[in-house]
Amino acid sequence: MVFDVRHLHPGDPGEEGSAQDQEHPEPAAEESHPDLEALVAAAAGAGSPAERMGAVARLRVLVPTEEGIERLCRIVEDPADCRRLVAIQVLGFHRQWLFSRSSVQRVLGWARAETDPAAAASLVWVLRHRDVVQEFLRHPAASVVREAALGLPVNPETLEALLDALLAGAGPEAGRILAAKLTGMHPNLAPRSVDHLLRVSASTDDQALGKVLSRLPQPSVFDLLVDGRGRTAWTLDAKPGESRRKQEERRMSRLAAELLQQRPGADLIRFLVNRSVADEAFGRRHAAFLEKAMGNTREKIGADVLDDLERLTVGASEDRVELMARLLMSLGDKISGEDSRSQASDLIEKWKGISPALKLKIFHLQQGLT
Amino acid sequence: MYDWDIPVVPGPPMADLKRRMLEEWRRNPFLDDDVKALGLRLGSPETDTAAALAGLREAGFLEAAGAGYVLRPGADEAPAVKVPANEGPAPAEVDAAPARGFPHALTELIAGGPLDDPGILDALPFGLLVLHSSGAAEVVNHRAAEMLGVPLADLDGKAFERIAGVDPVAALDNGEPHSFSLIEPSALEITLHRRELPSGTAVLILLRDVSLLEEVSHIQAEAQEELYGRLREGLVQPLAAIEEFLEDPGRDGLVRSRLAMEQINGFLKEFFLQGGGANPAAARGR
Repeated sequence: MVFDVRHLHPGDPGEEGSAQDQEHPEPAAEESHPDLEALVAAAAGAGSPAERMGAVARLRVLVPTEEGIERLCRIVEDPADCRRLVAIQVLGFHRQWLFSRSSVQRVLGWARAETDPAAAASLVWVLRHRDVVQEFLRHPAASVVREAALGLPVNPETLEALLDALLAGAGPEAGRILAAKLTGMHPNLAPRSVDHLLRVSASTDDQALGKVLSRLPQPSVFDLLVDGRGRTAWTLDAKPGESRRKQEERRMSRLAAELLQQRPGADLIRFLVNRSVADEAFGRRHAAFLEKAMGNTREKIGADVLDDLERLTVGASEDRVELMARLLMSLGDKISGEDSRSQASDLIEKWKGISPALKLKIFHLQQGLT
Repeated sequence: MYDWDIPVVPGPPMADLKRRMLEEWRRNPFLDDDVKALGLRLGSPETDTAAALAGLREAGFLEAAGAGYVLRPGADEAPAVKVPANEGPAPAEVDAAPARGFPHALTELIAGGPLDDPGILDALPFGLLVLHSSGAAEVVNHRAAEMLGVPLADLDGKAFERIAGVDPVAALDNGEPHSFSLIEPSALEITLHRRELPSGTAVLILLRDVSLLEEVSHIQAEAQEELYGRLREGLVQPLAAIEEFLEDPGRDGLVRSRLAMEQINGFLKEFFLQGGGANPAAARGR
């Protein structure tokens, strides 16, 4: 038996024509155990589109057994077999057989040796969501690179391959997909990304670096490169390699600052506002940056920033509240929604009530007198 | 690669996205992407992807099968999607236009109009190729096929890219027309334009035969080379001899300089130019 037919639907095409089956019991027995290879041949064959799509639909529903998987593998391993592509795709659709490392290595071996781009792309699709697809980001065929980009999981093992592919210009389609994956990655991976970018930046131009940096989580990039938390400490007896790294750090820092100031997102503004209020030294250091970023942001600031400010009001000194009022007023028309604007007005009124001196200062701010 | 054709294609709204989606299923009928993965694959927002997927199911192009969807058997019987009034004046036939893989939607649009003559496209003095964003051909005239040296039936985005070395679909990314020249298989000037048609975004490719211009340029280049050779012999080398004499005057040099002057004079006369003013005899008398 090559199919697990336990879950066949009662209305499945294989069970049609029961009256006829009663008259001819032999074909009925054949129908109850559909032949895997015949279905694969029907899907790949020269029949009508309806016949082929029907075979595909059945192959999707029927689950091949271990023996069936082995038969499909034999078809894939025969380069002259015209059913290879369908066999690969069936193997990719029913992936439960890929639980073992040896099965993955087997498919990997096929994919490495494959010369037909369509079959190679399908083999990479079979390996989707596994770290091994990263090696196909450097494949010469664009369709294979695209499938590798789509199937690439973003984790510490694959991050460097992803960044290298983007820096090397992975092609428009794969580049778009990888950039989207980089944008959606977990912020915990940002320090590792910055570290890798620093290692390879010497051989990369500003434009490529900028493209990758602009896709990383902005607060992490600011923290690591602009504020310099990730920078190496300067010493008098720096070795040649260290001084080169310092040089690259300065270059990346400049690039990152330019990028972040040009298109700051709402999450960066929130991060800067929070840190500026919580850490006076930070606020002084990056006051000019924050002002410029708030002027350039195209994203609307939501209620989360206002909630942060409200939370930071508790136990804050008058100077700090004045700073918060200044920041909130400079956000001005960038606050989204009627509710948030009304929450901002309420917050300012609340701050005015802290002391007469603060009330006067905030009033002056509102009148643009300071 | 599967070579099956889908005899009808989905229409608006989001016809282009739906067609690209179907193309993905044609390429891999075992595709099991969810809406998010499909959006990433097609570069479309999740909401649009979900709407397009629902549209394809509603129109009968896809149906649920196990995990995901499968191309519906007998998609050729799928009902055409009518064009809503706000989607433009395209007739409903556009949606179900028969074609090789994709519809000749543009051809259908001009049906009944002044261009509705099968020979009119072939009578155009240039090659014309309209490609859908998936690379499928919507309109091709015989002249384009002849110019590119491929059978009319085989001319699509991939064939064009193979011959010209330029991905025509990449022109969609750029609003500006993109022009380039080819020498093989024949001297051609090719311009790619992005155009919005009722059936979706398309690339309009115009091919101009520039073999005559190429030949004229070749002749011009040869004539120029010859002129430079003669200038070198008739002017540059004699002037160098005169310069050498002026730096170190001597009797031998004087004779060589006179010969050089005669060479220059002869060259100028040959080209109907006069050296040493309007009246050389008067100049000699002074």
